[in-house]
Amino acid sequence: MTDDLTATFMTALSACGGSCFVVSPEELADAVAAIVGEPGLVLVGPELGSLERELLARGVDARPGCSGEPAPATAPSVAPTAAADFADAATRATCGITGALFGIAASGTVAIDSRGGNAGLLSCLPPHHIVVLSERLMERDLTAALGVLAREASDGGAGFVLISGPSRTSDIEMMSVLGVHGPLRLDVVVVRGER
Amino acid sequence: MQGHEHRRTQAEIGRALADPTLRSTLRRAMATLYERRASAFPPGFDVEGHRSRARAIKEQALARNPELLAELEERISAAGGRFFFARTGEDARRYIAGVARAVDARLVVKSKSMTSEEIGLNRELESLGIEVVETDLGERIIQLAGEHPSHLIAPAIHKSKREIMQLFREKMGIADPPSDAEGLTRLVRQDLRSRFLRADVGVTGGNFVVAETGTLVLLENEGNIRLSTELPPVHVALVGLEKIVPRFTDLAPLLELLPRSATGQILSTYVSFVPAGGACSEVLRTDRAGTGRDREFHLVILDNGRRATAADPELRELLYCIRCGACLNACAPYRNVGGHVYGVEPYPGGIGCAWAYVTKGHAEAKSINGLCTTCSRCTEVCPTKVDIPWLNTVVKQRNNREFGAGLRQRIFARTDLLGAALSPVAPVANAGLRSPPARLSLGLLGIDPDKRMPRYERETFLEWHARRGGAAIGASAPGHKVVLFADCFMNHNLPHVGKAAVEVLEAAGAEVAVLHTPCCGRPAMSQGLLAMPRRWALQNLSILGPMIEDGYDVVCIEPSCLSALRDDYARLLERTPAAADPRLALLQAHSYDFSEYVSAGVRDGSLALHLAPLDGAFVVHGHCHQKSLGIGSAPADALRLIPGATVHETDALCCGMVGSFGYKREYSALSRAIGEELFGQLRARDGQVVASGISCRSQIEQGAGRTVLHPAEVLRRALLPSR
Repeated sequence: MTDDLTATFMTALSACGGSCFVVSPEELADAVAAIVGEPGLVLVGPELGSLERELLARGVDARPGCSGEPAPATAPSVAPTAAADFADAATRATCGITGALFGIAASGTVAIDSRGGNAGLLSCLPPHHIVVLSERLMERDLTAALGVLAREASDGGAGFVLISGPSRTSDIEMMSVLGVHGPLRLDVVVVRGER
Repeated sequence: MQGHEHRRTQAEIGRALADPTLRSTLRRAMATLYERRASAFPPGFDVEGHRSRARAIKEQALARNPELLAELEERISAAGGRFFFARTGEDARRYIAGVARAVDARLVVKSKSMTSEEIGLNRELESLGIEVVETDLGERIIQLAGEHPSHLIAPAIHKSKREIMQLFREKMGIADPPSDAEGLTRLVRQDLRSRFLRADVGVTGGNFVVAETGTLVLLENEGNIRLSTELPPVHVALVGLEKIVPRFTDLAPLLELLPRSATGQILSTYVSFVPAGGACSEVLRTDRAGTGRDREFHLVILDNGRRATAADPELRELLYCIRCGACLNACAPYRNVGGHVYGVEPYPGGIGCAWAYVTKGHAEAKSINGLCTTCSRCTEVCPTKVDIPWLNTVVKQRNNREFGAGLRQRIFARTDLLGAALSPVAPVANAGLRSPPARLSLGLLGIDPDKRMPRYERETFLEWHARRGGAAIGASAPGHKVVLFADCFMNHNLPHVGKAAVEVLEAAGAEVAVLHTPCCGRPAMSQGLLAMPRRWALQNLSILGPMIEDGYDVVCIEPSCLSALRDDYARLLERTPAAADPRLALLQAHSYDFSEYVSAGVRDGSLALHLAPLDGAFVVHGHCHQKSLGIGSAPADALRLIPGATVHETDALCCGMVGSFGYKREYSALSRAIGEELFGQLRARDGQVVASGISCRSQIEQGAGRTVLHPAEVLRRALLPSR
């Protein structure tokens, strides 16, 4: 059953141009593989654990979206390691998949840790961004979310970005266009779990 | 009489008004932004609570600015970032140029930063042979066009798609650019992506900086700020010192209000929280492309006049501005001519005048000062309730001190003396004002001789009232006791409106007293002459205060006078002993607009009006000050007391006259252009036009060729003979 916060989240996210899918933990890999859709390089944030391998097994050209450590032995090709290579790879990738610190129901927002694991670039350079968000991490509104961020920010080193929908502009005659410098498409996969 | 800056402004306005593409592009964009903002505040949203909290946070942050700066510096340094306090624009330019030189930068990518425009950063970097690329789509467009931003949040709002296509043809060498916004946007994405990847330095501004954590907060929709902060090996953020807030949780009301006010979004697409040590991903943290250098993050905090402003009690609230641009979308002059007419880079509009004063000084501010009509529509939408018209009044006053007030200003300031001089010779004066010599003198004074001057009446309202023998209902009568404020215009130009008001109020059961009071002071205030209004405010307090203590309410015919009594006196008397005078609060609480007073009284049963139906419909245009005082629908409510009345309210922003604004030669064409929206709505509807303000009345009569009545005159016509 989808709870109220998730329903609010779905509505708000679709209002800002993104899509939301609610799945069980068992359905996650299949759902993400289906959402990825088109063939192409897919970079997966390290915070998502085994998802990258599960996607590979489903025929998705998934690579680890992290170069801070050696590429896992299971990767079929050499993972991008040098920093510049990573940025290039992230630009060539058709899709970046990241986790999220939490969601904000009222505005359809996901919070990304922009420093650890390169989620910042994975969520910004490829034209398609998929976010895997645990349902129990849903905050009601901005004020609640800032309370969480304040705790995280207090150590001084943490960086975040709140993302509400795909990249957009209205700079030309107030016409709304998606995918300016960031992704054209944003899909959030909410993984059901106990609250 | 007309100074150089008047001629420049007049020429700029003329150019803008003669550009149909600019006007239609602007009109559409402004209406869209204005409506989007309005729909971003659903009924359950506590707008006032948020605005008050946001203002309090900014207020407190500025009071504690020095200590917050120290805290911030410590935070940034401890996290490995570099902190620099730039006292002037030049200091900031030099520092940032030094950072770029130290890394042999060839390419700098920039995200939109009005503060960098303020200090002319691009020119400085370009003079060092560094390529500077603006990455915000709108900002990139105007960079290619060699222009400056014309709006705080939508810099290319004045450009049409066709003009942008032509620009891409010429400046990007694209023979056949796409003709849709999406295709044009794709072009820029491709063009800029490779530059992001090879940029040596990313320069951004910042919306907020949190002292306790050293976090820099940036809002955007496009993603270019994220790329500018995360990709290049060096990130420099240039931020005005007013952007510092004490605590992380202080961000809540500010983040709730900024996107809603700016673009009507609940939240901007991306809100980046850059930590004290810099934003970049772990992968790019060190050794990017084998340079062997660590990533650098520089936070440059800019003073450039802000510190002095923070210590200036009259102008301090300018620094509460969070640069959302909502005030521009609500500004009638701005909506018609756009930001370039102001000519003082980079901040346009009424708020821009005060920014120009703070960052560039007297002379710059003077040239655009008059473009703020002080209509107050901007204060309604400001997320931190900055009283922009008051800031402009203060700047005007200081300019008057610096350069001396002109004769025209002194004339417009004394509506009381003009009336007293011209009423006794009304027939001669009325004819004389149209004579060739008078037209010539008006022209020399900088007054448009083609604008219809108010007609003077031989018998003033006060004379009529004395001749009548005072109040018709004695003090023993039950119900309301009213002082009808005999303002200069009503007294000398529209005495019949005053008579109608007396008769309606008396018929409704109120005792109406009429007193000799000085001018409310608004006309002089709007010229930046504050000494006289201060004196008049004190006199009015001493005359009206005891009446209110005795149970009287003050009722105004002219909404601008009400706005003086209810709003401006508190500002005028700030930091004077009278600020603590309990009669000031009494006056604020017991002053009313005529329509507001009558309709509220009848609706709560304390006044009783017996009205007969009248033929025809009514088309009501609300006065700007009625709207800014939150009683915009009062005239329509009053007319709806008439049985079966059909009342239509216009939704035009402003009539364009706004006191003396429309009479000034350099603004008279703009005044007509502003009025066109209203005239169009009036032409499309039959019915009696009703407006409360005398300047609205003149403007509508001349511009739309319709006769105008005050709500009091209409109600007077509907009065049934007393039984």
